Amino acid sequence: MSRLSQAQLRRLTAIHGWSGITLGLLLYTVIATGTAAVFGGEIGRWSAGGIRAADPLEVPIDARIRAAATQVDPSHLDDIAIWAGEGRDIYAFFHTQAENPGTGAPDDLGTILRLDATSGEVFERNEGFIWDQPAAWDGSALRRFLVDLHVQLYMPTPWGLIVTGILGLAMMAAVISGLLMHRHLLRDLFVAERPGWRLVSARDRHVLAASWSLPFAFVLAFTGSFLSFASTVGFPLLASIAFGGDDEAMSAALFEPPVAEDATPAPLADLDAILADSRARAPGHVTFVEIARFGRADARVHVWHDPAAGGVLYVTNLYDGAAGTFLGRQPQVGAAPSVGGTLYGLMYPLHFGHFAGIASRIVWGALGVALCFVTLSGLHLWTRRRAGAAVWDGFARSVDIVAWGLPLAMLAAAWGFLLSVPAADPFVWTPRSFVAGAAAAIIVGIAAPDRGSLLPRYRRLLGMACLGLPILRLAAGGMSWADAILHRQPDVLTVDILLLLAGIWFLRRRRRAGRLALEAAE
Amino acid sequence: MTARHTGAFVAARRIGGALGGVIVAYPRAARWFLAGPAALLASLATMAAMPLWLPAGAGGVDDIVLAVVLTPLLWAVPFFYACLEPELPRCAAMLAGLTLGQALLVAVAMG
Amino acid sequence: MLPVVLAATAISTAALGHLASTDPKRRRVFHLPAPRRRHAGAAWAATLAPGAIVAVVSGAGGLFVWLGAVSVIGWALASARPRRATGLGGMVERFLTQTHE
Repeated sequence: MSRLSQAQLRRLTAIHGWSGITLGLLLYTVIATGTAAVFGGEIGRWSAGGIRAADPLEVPIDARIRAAATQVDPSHLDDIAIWAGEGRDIYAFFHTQAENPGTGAPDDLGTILRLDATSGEVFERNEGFIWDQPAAWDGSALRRFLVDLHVQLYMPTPWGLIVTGILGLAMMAAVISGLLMHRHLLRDLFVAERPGWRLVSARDRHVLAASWSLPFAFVLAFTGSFLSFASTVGFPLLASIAFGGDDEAMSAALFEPPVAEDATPAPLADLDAILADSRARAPGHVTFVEIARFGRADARVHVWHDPAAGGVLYVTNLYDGAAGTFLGRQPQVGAAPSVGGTLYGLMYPLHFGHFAGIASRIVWGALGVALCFVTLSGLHLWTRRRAGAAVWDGFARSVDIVAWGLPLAMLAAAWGFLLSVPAADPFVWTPRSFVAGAAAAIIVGIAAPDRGSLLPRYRRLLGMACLGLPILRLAAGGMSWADAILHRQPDVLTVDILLLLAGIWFLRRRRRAGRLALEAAE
Repeated sequence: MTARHTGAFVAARRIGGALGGVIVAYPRAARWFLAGPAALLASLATMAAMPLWLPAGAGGVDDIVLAVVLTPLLWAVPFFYACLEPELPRCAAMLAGLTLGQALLVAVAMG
Repeated sequence: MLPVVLAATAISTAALGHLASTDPKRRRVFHLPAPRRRHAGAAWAATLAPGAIVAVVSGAGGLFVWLGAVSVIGWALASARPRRATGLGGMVERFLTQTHE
């Protein structure tokens, strides 16, 4: 690092500082909601889950799918997608491809059924361009909202994805510039924040958190911007260059192995036997099943599995749909395993942190918290350096408001979800509640006479919001603790207990006074 | 080399010289342009041209998949190069060569 | 996989605790005497070697979990100020400090 000239260091400092200042609050939003999204499965089961003895894709479903197939338009049997719901339900989406009049692009058109995997009872039925109707394919409006807020800041596609992609690049630029700027990374690796609340203390706080989370910050920024830009810029651009603009041809070349067409009617092989064979070959949980060309001799069944213990890559087994024979392990992309396919396959698990069950999710969640700390401490350092200038003092208060207000708004979204489930549309009221919570946080922040009084106010609000949620969930008809213990449904109990502990922690008396709100937020 | 080629070469040198003069006269604006739009164009041109010069690999798709997977790096490399290169005219020449060369490759392939 | 990762993380944490408590710049900043012996090389080896073992025994998934856990724990250990360290981290630090002063 000492080989860089003063001019180069000044430029790197400017890149690091200004990228952080201009995009830092949005980046904090993406990181914080991403941290929540790591636990999307738990949030889904806590908010909308039912009792289940086993994963619904682990029980026999062949008869359920065949029965369901007789209840839909035969033209929707081109593809069948099957995945688990939040309880003992499964989603079966029977679809074909058609032009979506809303977008002008090819899209999945069909019928989606949410049914009991054990009894086959149909809970819900929806038709049309299903991906435009989140309520049709996601049981938890709360989880859907938090994930959407993270993925595209709840903005319309493709603009939201482009914005989050730019944020990912900005984060990567901040990571690289920070690494190049910091001349004594290893020497400072164990230097705790110096006492006295001085400017150097603020610097220590930021540098320490950033140094320890550096590799993961780079990985999450890289994979995040890839995930945002792949569908909006990368694949469309390359489709136009290499496939004359034919997205479907590119998709087929990348993701679908060539199959000799044979439309001769042939019944689908026993799906339960196929799934049992797939589980024997890949020990990870079955997460998704796709049946292509149902009822034809050229039918194919793809079975997606979580990575095996110690693995990172998802596993996909391919079967002949008519004969039920195993055709081989399908690479994530391409006809055979390759460097590109492996890198592509790493992007999702490294970003989501789902590859090793609860262990990787806990670690990824902790890293998300660390990155929130890095972002906020960096913003704080910038405003501390410029304290006294009206515009930066005002910005410092804005940072406080967002730092505390975002978690408050997310909790408000949960409140809105639970209040609306019994009698209103949670997919409407969850985002509205988020906005209401954000507005309340802004009002509290603006009304406070000084930054020092922000902390106690926000802590009280967060404490009450956390403590009230488990009570509200039970009042809204959610699973009781007795049922959760009796039927071994740990997610509900775990999230409730964590909320109660968080509420108590926020409301506990703080002996230290005069500490700035943001430093406590970090 | 025909007279036409010589004329084009001379014109290119004059344009390059003029641009070099502008860069030297306005270094800050030049740095902003090179690290901003120029780096972005270089990354897009590289992404678009990669299927033409990258081998397809064992799976037959590496030329396309790597271009998409490496998108963040394809931007970061020209961006940081533009930020750190001390000689701005050299930076401009490198980015211009990279962008125009690969854009030409794509144009020929599509034409 | 989990027991191997947990054991490796515990070993790396102990080694990081030693490195933190004996770090010369950290002790200088907080006006603590320099430790007599640090054995930085051995301590770093003890920090990183469990990761190599995890990679061999538990694969890439275990390695990523270990790496993430050690990053977060390392930050927590380094953030704790020497005089104010409480709980397990403080006990470890005080024990190591006393054996090195």
